[in-house]
Amino acid sequence: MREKYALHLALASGGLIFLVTILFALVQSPEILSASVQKGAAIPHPFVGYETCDSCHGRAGILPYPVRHLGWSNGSCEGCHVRDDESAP
Amino acid sequence: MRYLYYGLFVMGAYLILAMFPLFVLLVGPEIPGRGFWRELSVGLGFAGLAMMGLQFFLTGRFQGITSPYGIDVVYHFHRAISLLAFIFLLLHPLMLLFSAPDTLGLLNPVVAPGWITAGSIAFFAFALIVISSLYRLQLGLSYERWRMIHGYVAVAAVTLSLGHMIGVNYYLQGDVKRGLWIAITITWVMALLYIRLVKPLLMHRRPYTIEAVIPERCSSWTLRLRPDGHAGMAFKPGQFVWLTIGKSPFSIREHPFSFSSSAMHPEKLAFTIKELGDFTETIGSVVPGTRAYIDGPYGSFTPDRHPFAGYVFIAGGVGITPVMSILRTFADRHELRPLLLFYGSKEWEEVTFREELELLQGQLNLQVVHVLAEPPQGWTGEQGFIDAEVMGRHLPEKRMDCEYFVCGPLPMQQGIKSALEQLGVPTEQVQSESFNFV
Repeated sequence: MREKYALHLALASGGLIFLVTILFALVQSPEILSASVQKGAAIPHPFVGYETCDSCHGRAGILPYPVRHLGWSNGSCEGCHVRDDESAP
Repeated sequence: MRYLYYGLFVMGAYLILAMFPLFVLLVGPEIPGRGFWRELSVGLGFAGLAMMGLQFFLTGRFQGITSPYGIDVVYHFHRAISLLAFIFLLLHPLMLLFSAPDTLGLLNPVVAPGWITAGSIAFFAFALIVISSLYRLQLGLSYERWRMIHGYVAVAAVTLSLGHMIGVNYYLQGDVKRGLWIAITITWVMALLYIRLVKPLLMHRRPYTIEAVIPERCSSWTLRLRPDGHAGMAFKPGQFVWLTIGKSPFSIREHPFSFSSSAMHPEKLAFTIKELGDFTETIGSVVPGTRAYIDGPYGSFTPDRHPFAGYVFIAGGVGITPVMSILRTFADRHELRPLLLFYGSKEWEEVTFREELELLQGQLNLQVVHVLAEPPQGWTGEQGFIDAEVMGRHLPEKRMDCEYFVCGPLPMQQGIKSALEQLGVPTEQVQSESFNFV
């Protein structure tokens, strides 16, 4: 009985902490609530010939990307950053 | 009622401390989010780590935390909440991989930054703790070895997790956040220092000497302890302690045992221990004069906390130990309330304390009902196991006015509880204690 009581206390506490964690994630992702998709800044330079983004934007590059991009490959940049048509060749 | 409010306060404090890191993340300059799943992953990582850090408080046997619930509930809570925290920590990399599959490469320690590898090692360390705790017996780990692994690996895992968090350095930018996280870490370290240094030091200052090792029936031994240079330990009848025999209190080689002596004599402590496991097998060979240390008292299995018009005790085998402490205390207090003891044993010759129980029936308003699994020829008492029928024959008509204390092997406790339910005894009037939380 006491083991069950402890288990119920733990489940209730864990559930509450999980809910607060979801709230935290929602606060940090207002796009979920507003149903709008957050896009990164447009790519302001020609793309052809510059496909290897991290040669300039890697942490050691001349224009490094923010630390939160660490671990992402070149292939994923265009997921958020769209090509600027005016800059395209 | 006092314990209820205090229990709510303790639980509220736990929840605030577990969720505090998440609020800290939102303090100061706004940090842009990186999508719901990635932020949920990060939040679960922080919450899981905070829950793991708080385990140092739950297992520290702080009287302030254990007193409203009883230490067995706190330890069971520790086990269950650890599993939930581990699930949170497991979801942290899984959700990250789900939201950003490119991060899979970070699991390769050859190319990953050191702080990522620290997080990976910390995760496996937590997994080791969980697996060794759930399957200790199947893995053939002795209690002492498991405790050592549990303690040291837990410290390593939390330290590596902190290193991982500092290395990622996304949410910890700014002096306020860093300061708050340093404060959180300091509280964990202080709890750890108290457990590993302060508490053993306090125990070291209050040593005991084993005065006598007395053989009892049924491969049991009573250890009598005398305090050395202090007044002994005040306790409530039915409570237990962690006992260290012949080792330093810093060695963490301690085991939980119930008092069998009267609480009216804190200077004459006794523990009755049955030869059951690897440590208790050696209890009979303890030499009088050996130094001992005590951490306690703990437990809520005591009538002092549950004032009722009468008490019913149901004991099986060595489960009689805390009941003896209660009955001896009641005899010293000249207790007048009606008491009924159901005592289950295998054979008549194995009934520990049977002569003293006979005497106590003369001193107290006590009725003892022996129930023997293998009774001798000519036995006219109860036989078989303690069940609803046996109890129904002896319980008073006003059975609802009594509080029930059950102590014995776990299967017996479960059987007794369902039998009492059949007899109409409210579950909240049934107290039980077992040491299956260690």
